[in-house]
Amino acid sequence: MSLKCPNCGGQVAYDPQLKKVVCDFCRWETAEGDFSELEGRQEYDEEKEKEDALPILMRKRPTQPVLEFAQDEGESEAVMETSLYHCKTCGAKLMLSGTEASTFCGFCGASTIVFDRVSKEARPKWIIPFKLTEEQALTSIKTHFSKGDYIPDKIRELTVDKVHGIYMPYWLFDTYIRRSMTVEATTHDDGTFRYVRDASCHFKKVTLDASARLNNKMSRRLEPFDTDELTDFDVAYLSGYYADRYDVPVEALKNANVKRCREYLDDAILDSCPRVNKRTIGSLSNYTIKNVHEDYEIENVDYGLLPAYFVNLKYDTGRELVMVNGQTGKVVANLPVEKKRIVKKFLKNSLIACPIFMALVYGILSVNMYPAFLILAAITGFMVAGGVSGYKKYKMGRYRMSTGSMTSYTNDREDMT
Amino acid sequence: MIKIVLAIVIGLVLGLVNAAGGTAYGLSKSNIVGGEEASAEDFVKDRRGIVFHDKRDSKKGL
Repeated sequence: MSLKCPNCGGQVAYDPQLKKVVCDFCRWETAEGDFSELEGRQEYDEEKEKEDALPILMRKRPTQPVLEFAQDEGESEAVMETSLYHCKTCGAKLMLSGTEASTFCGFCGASTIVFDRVSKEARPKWIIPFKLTEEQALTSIKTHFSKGDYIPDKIRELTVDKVHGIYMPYWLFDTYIRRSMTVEATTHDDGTFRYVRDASCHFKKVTLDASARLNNKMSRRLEPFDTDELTDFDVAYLSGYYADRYDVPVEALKNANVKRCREYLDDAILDSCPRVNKRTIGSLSNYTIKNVHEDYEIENVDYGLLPAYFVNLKYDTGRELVMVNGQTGKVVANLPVEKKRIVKKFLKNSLIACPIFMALVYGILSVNMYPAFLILAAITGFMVAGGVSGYKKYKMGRYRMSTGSMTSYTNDREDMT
Repeated sequence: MIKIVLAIVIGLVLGLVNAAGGTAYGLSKSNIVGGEEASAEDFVKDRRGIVFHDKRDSKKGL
Protein backbone atom coordinates (compact mmCIF):
# COMPACT_ATOMS: atom_id res chain seq x y z
CA MET A 1 0.00 0.00 0.00
CA SER A 2 3.01 2.25 0.44
CA LEU A 3 3.49 3.86 -2.96
CA LYS A 4 6.77 5.00 -4.46
CA CYS A 5 7.68 7.80 -6.82
CA PRO A 6 8.63 6.49 -10.28
CA ASN A 7 11.09 9.38 -10.60
CA CYS A 8 13.17 9.20 -7.40
CA GLY A 9 11.80 6.21 -5.48
CA GLY A 10 10.64 8.37 -2.55
CA GLN A 11 7.32 8.01 -0.80
CA VAL A 12 4.35 9.79 -2.37
CA ALA A 13 1.12 11.14 -0.84
CA TYR A 14 -2.30 12.14 -2.17
CA ASP A 15 -2.85 15.93 -2.20
CA PRO A 16 -6.56 16.78 -1.70
CA GLN A 17 -6.21 20.26 -3.19
CA LEU A 18 -4.40 19.21 -6.36
CA LYS A 19 -6.34 15.92 -6.57
CA LYS A 20 -3.02 14.37 -7.55
CA VAL A 21 -0.48 12.08 -5.92
CA VAL A 22 2.66 14.12 -5.26
CA CYS A 23 6.23 13.17 -4.31
CA ASP A 24 7.46 15.16 -1.32
CA PHE A 25 11.09 14.74 -2.35
CA CYS A 26 11.32 15.62 -6.07
CA ARG A 27 7.82 17.19 -6.48
CA TRP A 28 6.90 14.71 -9.21
CA GLU A 29 3.13 14.40 -9.56
CA THR A 30 0.54 12.31 -11.34
CA ALA A 31 -2.11 13.65 -13.67
CA GLU A 32 -5.38 14.52 -11.91
CA GLY A 33 -7.21 11.29 -11.05
CA ASP A 34 -4.81 9.13 -13.09
CA PHE A 35 -2.50 7.04 -10.92
CA SER A 36 -1.38 4.51 -13.50
CA GLU A 37 2.27 5.62 -13.42
CA LEU A 38 2.73 4.82 -9.74
CA GLU A 39 4.95 1.95 -8.77
CA GLY A 40 3.64 -0.65 -6.34
CA ARG A 41 0.05 0.15 -7.15
CA GLN A 42 -2.01 -3.02 -7.41
CA GLU A 43 -3.89 -3.23 -10.65
CA TYR A 44 -7.55 -3.69 -10.14
CA ASP A 45 -9.44 -6.46 -11.85
CA GLU A 46 -12.88 -4.99 -12.30
CA GLU A 47 -14.34 -8.15 -13.83
CA LYS A 48 -13.11 -10.18 -10.88
CA GLU A 49 -14.76 -7.81 -8.46
CA LYS A 50 -18.05 -8.01 -10.30
CA GLU A 51 -17.93 -11.79 -9.99
CA ASP A 52 -16.82 -11.88 -6.40
CA ALA A 53 -18.41 -8.68 -5.18
CA LEU A 54 -18.55 -8.15 -1.44
CA PRO A 55 -21.21 -8.41 -0.33
CA ILE A 56 -23.21 -10.66 -2.62
CA LEU A 57 -26.77 -9.59 -2.24
CA MET A 58 -29.92 -11.58 -2.43
CA ARG A 59 -33.33 -10.05 -2.38
CA LYS A 60 -36.36 -11.36 -0.66
CA ARG A 61 -39.66 -9.63 -0.12
CA PRO A 62 -41.57 -8.51 1.78
CA THR A 63 -40.28 -8.24 5.33
CA GLN A 64 -37.06 -10.17 5.66
CA PRO A 65 -34.41 -9.19 3.17
CA VAL A 66 -31.53 -11.61 3.32
CA LEU A 67 -27.97 -10.59 2.72
CA GLU A 68 -25.41 -13.19 1.93
CA PHE A 69 -21.75 -12.62 1.69
CA ALA A 70 -18.69 -14.17 0.23
CA GLN A 71 -17.68 -16.69 2.84
CA ASP A 72 -14.28 -17.68 1.53
CA GLU A 73 -12.46 -14.58 2.68
CA GLY A 74 -9.15 -13.77 1.13
CA GLU A 75 -9.54 -15.75 -2.05
CA SER A 76 -12.91 -15.15 -3.64
CA GLU A 77 -13.36 -11.48 -2.60
CA ALA A 78 -11.87 -8.49 -4.29
CA VAL A 79 -8.88 -7.98 -2.04
CA MET A 80 -5.79 -5.83 -1.65
CA GLU A 81 -2.60 -6.51 0.22
CA THR A 82 -1.84 -4.10 3.02
CA SER A 83 0.26 -3.67 6.17
CA LEU A 84 -1.73 -3.90 9.38
CA TYR A 85 -0.66 -2.06 12.51
CA HIS A 86 -1.98 -2.52 16.00
CA CYS A 87 -2.23 0.07 18.78
CA LYS A 88 -1.44 -1.32 22.22
CA THR A 89 -3.24 1.54 23.98
CA CYS A 90 -6.68 1.63 22.34
CA GLY A 91 -6.66 -1.64 20.43
CA ALA A 92 -7.12 0.00 17.02
CA LYS A 93 -6.07 -1.94 13.95
CA LEU A 94 -5.15 0.26 11.04
CA MET A 95 -4.03 -0.13 7.48
CA LEU A 96 -1.23 2.34 7.10
CA SER A 97 0.79 4.15 4.53
CA GLY A 98 2.84 7.32 4.64
CA THR A 99 6.02 8.27 6.39
CA GLU A 100 4.88 8.73 10.02
CA ALA A 101 2.36 5.94 9.84
CA SER A 102 4.18 3.49 12.04
CA THR A 103 4.81 6.02 14.82
CA PHE A 104 1.45 7.13 16.24
CA CYS A 105 -2.06 5.71 16.47
CA GLY A 106 -4.51 7.67 14.34
CA PHE A 107 -7.32 7.23 16.86
CA CYS A 108 -5.85 7.88 20.29
CA GLY A 109 -2.57 9.53 19.32
CA ALA A 110 -0.50 7.17 21.48
CA SER A 111 2.92 6.15 20.31
CA THR A 112 2.30 2.50 21.16
CA ILE A 113 1.55 1.39 17.63
CA VAL A 114 3.33 -1.68 16.37
CA PHE A 115 3.45 -3.53 13.07
CA ASP A 116 1.12 -6.52 13.13
CA ARG A 117 1.23 -8.31 9.81
CA VAL A 118 0.77 -8.04 6.07
CA SER A 119 -2.84 -8.86 5.42
CA LYS A 120 -5.23 -9.27 2.52
CA GLU A 121 -8.13 -6.93 3.11
CA ALA A 122 -11.46 -6.53 1.34
CA ARG A 123 -11.06 -3.99 -1.38
CA PRO A 124 -13.60 -1.14 -1.13
CA LYS A 125 -15.74 -0.37 -4.15
CA TRP A 126 -15.99 3.34 -3.48
CA ILE A 127 -13.97 6.10 -1.91
CA ILE A 128 -14.53 9.80 -1.26
CA PRO A 129 -11.02 11.26 -1.49
CA PHE A 130 -9.94 13.83 1.08
CA LYS A 131 -11.06 17.26 -0.10
CA LEU A 132 -9.67 19.23 2.84
CA THR A 133 -6.03 19.59 3.75
CA GLU A 134 -4.90 19.37 7.38
CA GLU A 135 -4.60 23.16 7.50
CA GLN A 136 -8.15 23.61 6.24
CA ALA A 137 -9.41 21.12 8.84
CA LEU A 138 -7.68 23.08 11.60
CA THR A 139 -9.11 26.37 10.31
CA SER A 140 -12.57 24.81 10.37
CA ILE A 141 -12.02 23.75 14.00
CA LYS A 142 -10.85 27.24 14.99
CA THR A 143 -13.93 28.83 13.46
CA HIS A 144 -16.28 26.50 15.34
CA PHE A 145 -14.50 26.81 18.66
CA SER A 146 -14.66 30.59 18.61
CA LYS A 147 -18.45 30.35 19.08
CA GLY A 148 -18.64 28.25 22.27
CA ASP A 149 -19.27 30.16 25.52
CA TYR A 150 -17.71 27.57 27.83
CA ILE A 151 -14.83 26.30 25.73
CA PRO A 152 -11.55 26.71 27.65
CA ASP A 153 -9.02 29.18 26.30
CA LYS A 154 -6.39 26.45 26.14
CA ILE A 155 -8.59 24.51 23.72
CA ARG A 156 -9.31 27.63 21.66
CA GLU A 157 -5.59 28.19 21.29
CA LEU A 158 -5.52 24.88 19.42
CA THR A 159 -2.32 23.29 20.64
CA VAL A 160 -2.25 20.43 18.20
CA ASP A 161 -0.63 17.21 19.31
CA LYS A 162 -1.35 15.07 16.24
CA VAL A 163 -3.50 15.29 13.13
CA HIS A 164 -4.32 12.11 11.26
CA GLY A 165 -6.31 11.74 8.08
CA ILE A 166 -8.13 8.43 8.32
CA TYR A 167 -10.31 6.76 5.74
CA MET A 168 -13.18 5.27 7.72
CA PRO A 169 -14.92 2.10 6.51
CA TYR A 170 -18.62 2.48 5.75
CA TRP A 171 -21.34 0.27 4.36
CA LEU A 172 -23.43 2.13 1.82
CA PHE A 173 -27.00 0.84 1.62
CA ASP A 174 -29.55 1.41 -1.15
CA THR A 175 -32.98 0.71 0.29
CA TYR A 176 -36.54 0.88 -0.96
CA ILE A 177 -39.09 1.26 1.82
CA ARG A 178 -42.86 1.67 1.75
CA ARG A 179 -44.98 2.26 4.86
CA SER A 180 -48.70 2.76 5.30
CA MET A 181 -50.29 3.84 8.57
CA THR A 182 -53.08 5.69 10.31
CA VAL A 183 -52.04 8.64 12.44
CA GLU A 184 -54.49 9.98 15.03
CA ALA A 185 -53.79 13.41 16.48
CA THR A 186 -55.68 14.74 19.48
CA THR A 187 -55.97 18.48 19.90
CA HIS A 188 -57.15 20.31 23.02
CA ASP A 189 -59.72 22.47 21.29
CA ASP A 190 -60.75 20.77 18.09
CA GLY A 191 -61.11 17.02 18.76
CA THR A 192 -59.28 14.12 17.12
CA PHE A 193 -58.02 14.06 13.54
CA ARG A 194 -57.27 10.95 11.52
CA TYR A 195 -54.67 10.81 8.74
CA VAL A 196 -54.29 7.79 6.47
CA ARG A 197 -50.91 7.73 4.77
CA ASP A 198 -49.10 5.41 2.37
CA ALA A 199 -45.63 6.59 1.33
CA SER A 200 -42.50 5.13 -0.19
CA CYS A 201 -38.95 6.18 -0.96
CA HIS A 202 -35.72 4.91 -2.47
CA PHE A 203 -32.93 5.88 -0.10
CA LYS A 204 -29.53 5.82 -1.79
CA LYS A 205 -26.13 5.28 -0.22
CA VAL A 206 -27.23 5.47 3.41
CA THR A 207 -23.93 5.51 5.28
CA LEU A 208 -23.37 3.22 8.27
CA ASP A 209 -19.90 3.06 9.70
CA ALA A 210 -18.32 -0.36 9.62
CA SER A 211 -15.81 0.24 12.38
CA ALA A 212 -16.63 -1.18 15.79
CA ARG A 213 -14.11 1.17 17.34
CA LEU A 214 -15.88 4.36 16.38
CA ASN A 215 -19.02 5.05 18.37
CA ASN A 216 -21.98 5.01 16.00
CA LYS A 217 -23.46 8.20 17.45
CA MET A 218 -20.19 10.00 16.83
CA SER A 219 -19.86 8.67 13.31
CA ARG A 220 -23.44 9.72 12.53
CA ARG A 221 -22.51 13.22 13.61
CA LEU A 222 -19.70 13.23 11.05
CA GLU A 223 -22.36 12.81 8.38
CA PRO A 224 -23.61 13.79 5.92
CA PHE A 225 -21.07 12.94 3.27
CA ASP A 226 -21.90 14.01 -0.25
CA THR A 227 -22.16 10.56 -1.85
CA ASP A 228 -22.49 12.13 -5.31
CA GLU A 229 -18.72 12.53 -5.02
CA LEU A 230 -18.06 8.81 -4.52
CA THR A 231 -15.40 7.68 -6.91
CA ASP A 232 -14.01 4.26 -7.87
CA PHE A 233 -11.55 3.06 -5.28
CA ASP A 234 -7.86 3.31 -6.06
CA VAL A 235 -5.13 2.58 -3.52
CA ALA A 236 -3.35 5.74 -4.64
CA TYR A 237 -5.91 7.78 -2.69
CA LEU A 238 -4.69 6.13 0.52
CA SER A 239 -1.11 7.29 0.15
CA GLY A 240 -0.26 9.64 2.99
CA TYR A 241 -3.31 8.65 5.00
CA TYR A 242 -4.42 5.97 7.43
CA ALA A 243 -7.25 3.62 6.60
CA ASP A 244 -9.32 1.79 9.16
CA ARG A 245 -10.43 -1.72 8.25
CA TYR A 246 -14.03 -2.82 8.56
CA ASP A 247 -14.76 -5.09 11.46
CA VAL A 248 -18.54 -4.84 11.56
CA PRO A 249 -20.06 -7.15 8.95
CA VAL A 250 -22.82 -5.75 6.78
CA GLU A 251 -25.25 -8.35 8.17
CA ALA A 252 -24.94 -6.73 11.61
CA LEU A 253 -26.03 -3.35 10.29
CA LYS A 254 -28.93 -4.21 8.00
CA ASN A 255 -31.48 -3.60 10.77
CA ALA A 256 -29.83 -0.31 11.69
CA ASN A 257 -30.10 0.74 8.05
CA VAL A 258 -33.79 -0.16 7.82
CA LYS A 259 -34.43 1.60 11.13
CA ARG A 260 -32.87 4.78 9.79
CA CYS A 261 -34.85 4.64 6.55
CA ARG A 262 -38.01 4.00 8.57
CA GLU A 263 -37.31 7.02 10.78
CA TYR A 264 -36.73 9.24 7.76
CA LEU A 265 -39.94 8.10 6.08
CA ASP A 266 -42.03 8.36 9.26
CA ASP A 267 -40.68 11.84 9.79
CA ALA A 268 -41.92 12.88 6.34
CA ILE A 269 -45.28 11.19 6.96
CA LEU A 270 -45.77 13.00 10.27
CA ASP A 271 -44.76 16.27 8.61
CA SER A 272 -47.63 15.76 6.18
CA CYS A 273 -50.19 15.56 9.03
CA PRO A 274 -51.16 19.16 9.90
CA ARG A 275 -52.42 18.60 13.46
CA VAL A 276 -49.54 16.37 14.54
CA ASN A 277 -47.08 17.96 16.90
CA LYS A 278 -43.84 15.99 16.59
CA ARG A 279 -42.33 17.63 19.66
CA THR A 280 -42.85 15.32 22.59
CA ILE A 281 -42.41 15.98 26.29
CA GLY A 282 -40.98 12.81 27.78
CA SER A 283 -43.16 10.02 26.46
CA LEU A 284 -46.14 12.33 25.99
CA SER A 285 -47.17 13.20 22.47
CA ASN A 286 -50.39 14.34 20.86
CA TYR A 287 -50.54 11.53 18.31
CA THR A 288 -50.69 7.74 18.00
CA ILE A 289 -49.72 5.57 15.04
CA LYS A 290 -51.91 2.58 14.12
CA ASN A 291 -52.37 -0.02 11.37
CA VAL A 292 -48.76 0.06 10.26
CA HIS A 293 -47.81 -2.01 7.25
CA GLU A 294 -44.26 -2.08 5.98
CA ASP A 295 -42.54 -3.41 2.91
CA TYR A 296 -38.85 -2.91 2.27
CA GLU A 297 -36.03 -4.19 0.16
CA ILE A 298 -32.30 -3.66 0.54
CA GLU A 299 -31.44 -3.19 -3.11
CA ASN A 300 -27.70 -2.91 -2.89
CA VAL A 301 -24.84 -2.67 -0.39
CA ASP A 302 -21.34 -1.46 -1.18
CA TYR A 303 -18.20 -1.08 0.88
CA GLY A 304 -16.61 2.36 0.81
CA LEU A 305 -13.99 4.47 2.54
CA LEU A 306 -14.93 7.98 3.65
CA PRO A 307 -12.50 10.64 4.85
CA ALA A 308 -12.15 12.06 8.37
CA TYR A 309 -9.45 13.93 10.25
CA PHE A 310 -8.77 12.88 13.83
CA VAL A 311 -7.18 15.81 15.63
CA ASN A 312 -5.64 15.33 19.06
CA LEU A 313 -5.37 18.60 20.97
CA LYS A 314 -3.15 18.97 24.02
CA TYR A 315 -5.19 19.94 27.07
CA ASP A 316 -3.94 19.87 30.66
CA THR A 317 -2.21 16.54 31.08
CA GLY A 318 -4.19 14.68 28.45
CA ARG A 319 -5.52 14.96 24.93
CA GLU A 320 -8.87 16.00 23.49
CA LEU A 321 -10.10 14.34 20.33
CA VAL A 322 -11.79 16.37 17.61
CA MET A 323 -13.07 14.84 14.37
CA VAL A 324 -13.47 16.71 11.10
CA ASN A 325 -15.31 15.42 8.05
CA GLY A 326 -12.54 15.30 5.43
CA GLN A 327 -14.96 16.17 2.66
CA THR A 328 -17.29 18.84 4.09
CA GLY A 329 -15.25 20.22 7.00
CA LYS A 330 -17.97 19.51 9.57
CA VAL A 331 -16.42 19.51 13.05
CA VAL A 332 -17.48 17.00 15.72
CA ALA A 333 -16.32 17.36 19.31
CA ASN A 334 -17.50 17.16 22.89
CA LEU A 335 -15.24 19.57 24.66
CA PRO A 336 -14.38 20.07 28.33
CA VAL A 337 -15.73 23.16 30.10
CA GLU A 338 -13.89 25.95 31.84
CA LYS A 339 -15.42 26.40 35.32
CA LYS A 340 -14.50 30.10 35.37
CA ARG A 341 -16.54 30.67 32.24
CA ILE A 342 -19.54 28.78 33.66
CA VAL A 343 -19.54 30.87 36.84
CA LYS A 344 -19.29 34.04 34.76
CA LYS A 345 -22.19 32.98 32.56
CA PHE A 346 -24.29 31.95 35.58
CA LEU A 347 -23.75 35.34 37.24
CA LYS A 348 -24.61 37.10 33.99
CA ASN A 349 -27.81 35.04 33.60
CA SER A 350 -28.70 35.65 37.28
CA LEU A 351 -28.27 39.40 36.89
CA ILE A 352 -30.85 39.34 34.13
CA ALA A 353 -33.24 36.71 35.54
CA CYS A 354 -33.44 37.77 39.20
CA PRO A 355 -34.71 41.35 38.67
CA ILE A 356 -37.22 40.11 36.10
CA PHE A 357 -38.62 37.46 38.45
CA MET A 358 -38.63 39.88 41.40
CA ALA A 359 -40.68 42.34 39.37
CA LEU A 360 -43.05 39.63 38.19
CA VAL A 361 -43.57 38.27 41.73
CA TYR A 362 -44.14 41.76 43.09
CA GLY A 363 -46.65 42.43 40.31
CA ILE A 364 -48.53 39.20 41.05
CA LEU A 365 -48.61 39.91 44.80
CA SER A 366 -49.73 43.50 44.23
CA VAL A 367 -52.78 42.58 42.17
CA ASN A 368 -53.43 39.33 44.09
CA MET A 369 -53.28 37.23 40.91
CA TYR A 370 -51.98 34.17 42.70
CA PRO A 371 -52.77 31.65 39.89
CA ALA A 372 -50.10 33.46 37.86
CA PHE A 373 -47.54 31.76 40.11
CA LEU A 374 -48.37 28.58 38.24
CA ILE A 375 -47.02 30.19 35.06
CA LEU A 376 -43.79 31.13 36.83
CA ALA A 377 -43.54 27.60 38.22
CA ALA A 378 -44.08 26.18 34.73
CA ILE A 379 -41.37 28.41 33.26
CA THR A 380 -38.99 27.37 36.03
CA GLY A 381 -39.85 23.69 35.55
CA PHE A 382 -39.21 24.02 31.83
CA MET A 383 -35.85 25.69 32.42
CA VAL A 384 -34.80 23.07 35.01
CA ALA A 385 -35.81 20.22 32.67
CA GLY A 386 -33.87 21.89 29.85
CA GLY A 387 -30.85 22.32 32.10
CA VAL A 388 -30.88 18.71 33.29
CA SER A 389 -31.30 17.43 29.74
CA GLY A 390 -28.49 19.70 28.47
CA TYR A 391 -26.17 18.57 31.24
CA LYS A 392 -26.96 14.88 30.67
CA LYS A 393 -26.39 15.27 26.94
CA TYR A 394 -23.07 16.95 27.61
CA LYS A 395 -21.91 14.27 30.06
CA MET A 396 -22.89 11.45 27.70
CA GLY A 397 -21.15 13.21 24.83
CA ARG A 398 -17.98 13.59 26.87
CA TYR A 399 -17.99 9.91 27.68
CA ARG A 400 -18.44 8.92 24.03
CA MET A 401 -15.63 11.15 22.84
CA SER A 402 -13.13 10.23 25.52
CA THR A 403 -10.29 8.21 24.08
CA GLY A 404 -10.42 5.92 27.10
CA SER A 405 -13.75 4.57 25.97
CA MET A 406 -12.58 3.92 22.41
CA THR A 407 -11.98 0.28 23.19
CA SER A 408 -15.52 -0.20 24.48
CA TYR A 409 -17.13 1.20 21.37
CA THR A 410 -18.19 -2.24 20.30
CA ASN A 411 -20.46 -2.49 23.31
CA ASP A 412 -21.76 0.98 22.62
CA ARG A 413 -23.27 0.09 19.26
CA GLU A 414 -26.91 -0.22 20.20
CA ASP A 415 -27.94 -0.39 16.55
CA MET A 416 -26.25 -3.73 15.98
CA THR A 417 -28.47 -6.75 16.28
CA MET B 1 -43.34 45.83 53.04
CA ILE B 2 -44.02 42.10 53.31
CA LYS B 3 -44.86 42.02 49.63
CA ILE B 4 -41.50 43.60 48.76
CA VAL B 5 -39.58 41.15 50.94
CA LEU B 6 -41.52 38.21 49.48
CA ALA B 7 -40.95 39.47 45.94
CA ILE B 8 -37.21 39.75 46.59
CA VAL B 9 -36.93 36.30 48.18
CA ILE B 10 -39.16 34.40 45.73
CA GLY B 11 -37.82 36.35 42.74
CA LEU B 12 -34.25 35.66 43.79
CA VAL B 13 -34.89 31.92 44.18
CA LEU B 14 -36.74 31.66 40.86
CA GLY B 15 -34.14 33.83 39.12
CA LEU B 16 -31.24 31.74 40.36
CA VAL B 17 -32.95 28.45 39.49
CA ASN B 18 -33.78 29.70 36.00
CA ALA B 19 -30.28 31.09 35.52
CA ALA B 20 -28.81 27.74 36.57
CA GLY B 21 -31.12 25.89 34.14
CA GLY B 22 -30.19 28.21 31.31
CA THR B 23 -26.49 27.88 32.06
CA ALA B 24 -26.65 24.07 32.17
CA TYR B 25 -28.67 23.97 28.94
CA GLY B 26 -25.99 26.10 27.29
CA LEU B 27 -23.40 23.41 28.06
CA SER B 28 -24.67 21.10 25.35
CA LYS B 29 -25.10 23.97 22.90
CA SER B 30 -21.64 25.39 23.47
CA ASN B 31 -19.40 22.39 24.01
CA ILE B 32 -21.06 19.75 21.87
CA VAL B 33 -19.85 20.77 18.43
CA GLY B 34 -21.48 19.25 15.35
CA GLY B 35 -24.41 17.69 17.20
CA GLU B 36 -26.79 17.60 14.24
CA GLU B 37 -27.08 14.46 12.15
CA ALA B 38 -27.86 13.78 8.51
CA SER B 39 -31.46 14.14 7.37
CA ALA B 40 -33.59 12.21 4.90
CA GLU B 41 -32.78 14.72 2.14
CA ASP B 42 -29.14 13.65 2.25
CA PHE B 43 -30.08 10.16 1.10
CA VAL B 44 -32.99 10.82 -1.23
CA LYS B 45 -31.26 10.92 -4.59
CA ASP B 46 -34.34 9.83 -6.50
CA ARG B 47 -35.88 12.83 -8.25
CA ARG B 48 -39.34 11.76 -7.10
CA GLY B 49 -38.21 11.91 -3.48
CA ILE B 50 -40.71 10.61 -0.95
CA VAL B 51 -43.84 9.52 -2.85
CA PHE B 52 -47.29 9.52 -1.24
CA HIS B 53 -49.54 6.80 -2.69
CA ASP B 54 -52.46 7.54 -0.35
CA LYS B 55 -53.22 10.66 1.63
CA ARG B 56 -56.59 11.00 3.37
CA ASP B 57 -57.47 13.40 6.20
CA SER B 58 -60.62 13.21 8.30
CA LYS B 59 -61.97 14.34 11.64
CA LYS B 60 -62.93 11.55 14.04
CA GLY B 61 -66.65 11.35 14.71
CA LEU B 62 -67.70 13.08 11.48
